[in-house]
Amino acid sequence: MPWQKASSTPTPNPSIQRPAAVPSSDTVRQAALSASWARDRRVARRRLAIRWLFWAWWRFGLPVLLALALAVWLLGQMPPANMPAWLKPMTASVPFNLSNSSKKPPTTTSPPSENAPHGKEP
Amino acid sequence: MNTHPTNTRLVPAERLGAITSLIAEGSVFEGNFHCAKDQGIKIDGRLKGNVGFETGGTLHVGANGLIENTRLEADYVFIEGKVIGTVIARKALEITGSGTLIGDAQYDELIDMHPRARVRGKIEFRGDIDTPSS
Repeated sequence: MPWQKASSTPTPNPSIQRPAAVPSSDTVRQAALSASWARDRRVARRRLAIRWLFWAWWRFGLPVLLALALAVWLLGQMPPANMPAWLKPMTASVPFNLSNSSKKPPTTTSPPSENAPHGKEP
Repeated sequence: MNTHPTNTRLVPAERLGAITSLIAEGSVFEGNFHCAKDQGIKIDGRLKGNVGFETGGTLHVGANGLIENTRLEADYVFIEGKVIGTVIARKALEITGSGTLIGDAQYDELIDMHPRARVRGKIEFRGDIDTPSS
């Protein structure tokens, strides 16, 4: 009968929303693990980079920095090559004579007249 | 979806993927975790207590994980975070470069410590030291 056929096939009402499919426990577990792994990868990479940087700083960075600082300090101690003569530190060198080493060289403070015999002064 | 765990060299990825329990980041768990089956636990939060698996078992300490005052015992132990206590790995123990272990570690078969891993404690091989390796 036509009225029986129409009643046996109800048309879906579009205003009624069907509930979303509930994910299985295994799907939820895998999703949680995947999110956790992603976080782990990010955190571990950052921490590992910090550890490598810290090690490299103590192993290479600090010695290089100290060596550079020492080199700069030593360069600062040396006089420049184009320094004028009157600015250079005054140094005096006396030639060393082996044969006459016990004898004092004549200087301006001790003139040879000092060796003159006493009593003949004017 | 990412189906691969973090860079593991010794602990099989299948073991890490079969983990069934999770202590999430930001959570604190105080007490003992005990399991008689061959399952696994991943710790991203903070755990104060022991973890023990009678048979099998996989323990994964995530990069954010922290375990204190503990005695961990499982077949596979994979440490990316920080563990303060004793670790017993019946098959394999792996500590990555971001991991820290303060305490003693014992293992029966395999151990792998990545560069920059931090360990302060005694590491002991529990097997027969004179047996030639295959």
